[in-house]
Amino acid sequence: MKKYLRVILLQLKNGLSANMQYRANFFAWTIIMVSETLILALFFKIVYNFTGNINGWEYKHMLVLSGTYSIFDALMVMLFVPIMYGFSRYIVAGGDLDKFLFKPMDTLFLLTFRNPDFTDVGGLFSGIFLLVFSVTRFGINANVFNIILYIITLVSGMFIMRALIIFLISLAFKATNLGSLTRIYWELSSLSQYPVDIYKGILKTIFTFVLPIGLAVTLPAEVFFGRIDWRLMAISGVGAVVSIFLARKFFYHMLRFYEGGSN
Amino acid sequence: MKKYWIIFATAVKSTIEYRLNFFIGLILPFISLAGNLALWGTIAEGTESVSKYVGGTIIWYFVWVFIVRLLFKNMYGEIRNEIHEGKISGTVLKPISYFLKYLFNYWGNTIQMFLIFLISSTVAYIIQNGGLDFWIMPFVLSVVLAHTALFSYNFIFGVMSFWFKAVHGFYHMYGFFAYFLSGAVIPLSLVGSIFGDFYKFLPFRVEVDIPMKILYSGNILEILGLLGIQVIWIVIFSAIGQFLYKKGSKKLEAVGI
Repeated sequence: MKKYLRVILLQLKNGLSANMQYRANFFAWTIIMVSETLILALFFKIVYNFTGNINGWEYKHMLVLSGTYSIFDALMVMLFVPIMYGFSRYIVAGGDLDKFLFKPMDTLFLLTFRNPDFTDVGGLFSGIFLLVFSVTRFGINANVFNIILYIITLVSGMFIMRALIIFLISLAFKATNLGSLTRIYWELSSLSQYPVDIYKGILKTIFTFVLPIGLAVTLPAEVFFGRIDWRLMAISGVGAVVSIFLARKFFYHMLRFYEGGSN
Repeated sequence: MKKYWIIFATAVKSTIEYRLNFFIGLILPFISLAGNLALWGTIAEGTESVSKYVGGTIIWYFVWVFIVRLLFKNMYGEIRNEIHEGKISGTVLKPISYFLKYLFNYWGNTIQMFLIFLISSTVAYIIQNGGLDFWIMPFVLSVVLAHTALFSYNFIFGVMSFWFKAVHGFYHMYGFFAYFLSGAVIPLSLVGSIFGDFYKFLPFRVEVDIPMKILYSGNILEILGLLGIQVIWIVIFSAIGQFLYKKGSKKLEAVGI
């Protein structure tokens, strides 16, 4: 366990150094991510000029949701998304996976933390800022219990999305060119910036129980409004554990199809 | 011109080569469509000013946005890789225009999606208007121009790789503002009703807002004016792109062929 923690810390440090190597690019990303949070808030500001609430979600609720989405997105990009970068092209087709397979550590772990990406750090800070701003500005109840529950549900949501990522990259062992992999994640992830309550019928069932991306951001945000649905909390927690377990199984099953390509 | 058609044909073949990738690319836009329809459908339920969006309903607006964006393809990455990996040295010496090479490559890569776009537009138009008429033609033309403009600014960011090792941040920054201010996320007339018509002077609206305006216009003079704006932005983008390529290729240092 200690060894794994040491590797995580080392890789985070390396990732930060690598990002800071191209400072102009890094600062451009920081501006983008801050702008993304602001524009999401602006988007809802425009929308709420035409309506009072969206299925029970008022403007203040949407600001908490937008802040949570920015935090969630930034942490995902920092920790779990980079595994997809060039996975199909370099790791599988290019044979780079060989060097990970021979190391005396869990392959999936090594692949996950091979290059942490700090380009979204602006989104993390602007998300926290928006969250704190909306909580204090609108007098939302943020006690210690709520904050702990918020963190737990946010982490659960992140692990559900991590499971989805592992499932997606595993497909690359069978299909040689899967350049659309990252786009699948981004498209699905973007759905979580809206409250799950806007979906109706079969879509709501899918985004809540089958592919619980709807819960990833909605659930932590709802903690602050006192709308704690213990049934959904349980689904999110159990869903995170089960989906990671299944995704790992699937990854190692698909790994058997890897043929190696380097020399 | 024949050499460019060969590039076009090769690009068409390469998209068929990886069918799963192509199939996934086909399904992906439906995901964001589901999100947009769910959100705007909920908003429009009790809001007259949103539900009656210029000439059609807000739901139809986002169905058309989905159709317009079917052709979206990012060429910036391919150009950047060619420059960074040094493969460009094979092209620099050839008597072909680098801009046209990639323009034909772009349309070769998107031709299948273009056919799907034509079928989807025709079906949607018939369902919405009860039949097909002349006014779909300028819309199709404006979508072709919109994606040519999209390619042109992709080209600019691609050739910036001559100077910068990492330009992804700048590209994403532009793409992000372009996405929001193109009308793909929110109809620009709604933005304009609050913040004024500043968006009319920005290049982003060529992607979605102008094709949508043309679709609902029915006034030939207005349509010609809007098509003219698209052409102007294409000329500006391609001139900048070709100027940067000329400058950048002069500082290229490559060993071997």
